[in-house]
Amino acid sequence: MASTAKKKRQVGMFTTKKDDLVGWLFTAPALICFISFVLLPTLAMIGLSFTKYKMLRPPEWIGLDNYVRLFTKDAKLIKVAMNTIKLSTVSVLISIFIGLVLALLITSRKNGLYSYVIRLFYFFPNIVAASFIAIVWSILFSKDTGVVNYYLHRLFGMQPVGFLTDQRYALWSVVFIDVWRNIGFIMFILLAGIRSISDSYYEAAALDGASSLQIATHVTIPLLTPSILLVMVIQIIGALKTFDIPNIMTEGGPNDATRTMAMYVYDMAFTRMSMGYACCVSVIFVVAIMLVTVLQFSLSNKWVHYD
Amino acid sequence: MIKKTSSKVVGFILSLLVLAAGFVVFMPFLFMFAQSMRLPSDAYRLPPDWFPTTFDLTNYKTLFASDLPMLNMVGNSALVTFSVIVLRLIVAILAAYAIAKIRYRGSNTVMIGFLSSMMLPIQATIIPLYIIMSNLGLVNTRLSLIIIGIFDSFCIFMLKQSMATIPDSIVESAKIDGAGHMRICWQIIVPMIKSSLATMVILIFNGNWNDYFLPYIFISSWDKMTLPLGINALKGYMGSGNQSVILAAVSFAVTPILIIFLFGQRYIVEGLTASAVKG
Repeated sequence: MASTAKKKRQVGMFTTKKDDLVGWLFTAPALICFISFVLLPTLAMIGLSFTKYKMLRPPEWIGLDNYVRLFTKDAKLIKVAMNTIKLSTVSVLISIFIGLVLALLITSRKNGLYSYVIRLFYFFPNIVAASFIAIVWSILFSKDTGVVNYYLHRLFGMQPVGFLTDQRYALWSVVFIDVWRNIGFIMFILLAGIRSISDSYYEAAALDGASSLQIATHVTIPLLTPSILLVMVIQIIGALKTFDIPNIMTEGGPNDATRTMAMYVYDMAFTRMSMGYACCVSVIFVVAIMLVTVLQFSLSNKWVHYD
Repeated sequence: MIKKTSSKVVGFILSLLVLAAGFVVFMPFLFMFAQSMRLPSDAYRLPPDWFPTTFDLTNYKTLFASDLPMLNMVGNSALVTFSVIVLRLIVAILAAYAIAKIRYRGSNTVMIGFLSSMMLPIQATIIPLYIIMSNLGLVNTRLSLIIIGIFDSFCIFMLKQSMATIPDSIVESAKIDGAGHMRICWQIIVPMIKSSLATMVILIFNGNWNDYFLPYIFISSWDKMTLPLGINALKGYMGSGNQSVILAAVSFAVTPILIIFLFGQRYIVEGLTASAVKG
């Protein structure tokens, strides 16, 4: 034992300087990319948020003006922020609920063919590009020629609904597609979580004569809360960044009903060429995402059970 | 005994219901394929088909006969995705090895720096990125998509975690045998983390092949567009009168993914969900 420890230290000491150099050389490519495409843009984003910048002329320092405008004068931003919050919370809560129920229902099915078909049906929407999904659902949701309206009329005699053109429904149509895409992903993460719960809990519950509903609510779900938290954090971050689907399906309309934060930043920067103000919105956007994530972790000890 | 059988029956019925609901979830894709093979004159005829009633390829012919470079888009998507996979893995393997196995002075700080960038969405830093790219003269090039894709802190973190499970003694004894870090990294460590690398390939492929945002920002000419951007541009170009041609384009783009998924779905689902759990 002693001799191996000694040998280890000798090897380490003998090569320390060279190892340091090699270590830095190995990290250099990653570090260069990190500095040029992550760190520098982040610092530039913060810096530019204090300027007026229209791309053609050099940035002009205006202090906190952008922030003042953002917090006091930008009514559209409030709408966009509310859209993003509504979309994220509703879609994540509904998809976790459905994903959890589905995972609980099929936990004991271990048949290979059954699992195969379930994976195909539920997971496939998750691996198809959002931009393709957006095209297909635009056609399905179309007001006059759409399939959804056709069946609503045939089955319930409903008048055509403007799923994407009526500002009362457009955001919820986007939420619906989000849920449809994500339940499979959530379901399989939770399924892996359920299957990793030790059998001894179930045996104890069965001895006490618990029904399967009681087992689900008193044993499985509490033990699954760490996985649920994880899914929630991943999905919320993803949903807050939503861009592709509303950008393609509604271009933010009607009347900004489906415009999200990411779309607003894009619009400010590349359509209206207000780069400085767009950076200011970006800074707030990043801070908000971080706050939401930290908040979820810090609230988690109220409902998550850790072993 | 009766209770047990009845609960089994209930469980069976419920699992069939899950299956039926799954079919409904999958129906938009059936619609897409069936509709793309209809006669152009039937494009808007309702009720829709869920299974192809005709196998008419006129829409596909229209798509490829148009002046739009569909195959070129496939090539662009493949080029960008393949380059990002290769470059991101090489860069990440080197960095992960240095951080996990060389543990040079400063490696912890570097890792913390990388990790702290994980919550930064690209949608937020896109403006300075655009300015940098335009200063480098790389706007409207495929290269811009590739070089932005090289660095990924999550990939470095995952590979580092997986290398950390390999005992140090293996590295030490290779060193005593006179192997340098380059050789140890590529010939000893890399073969031992094959399954993590496979997961990363799935993850990077999925993210890059489907990416719409970066091409949307950087690419403006037809010959450089990747599939997700190109097909959407096609939609605007063809107008709404050609619904089934657009569906043919989407079907054409989705079919290879469906085939890959049919064969490797188990690994794909495990890869995409497991990496989320570990990270």
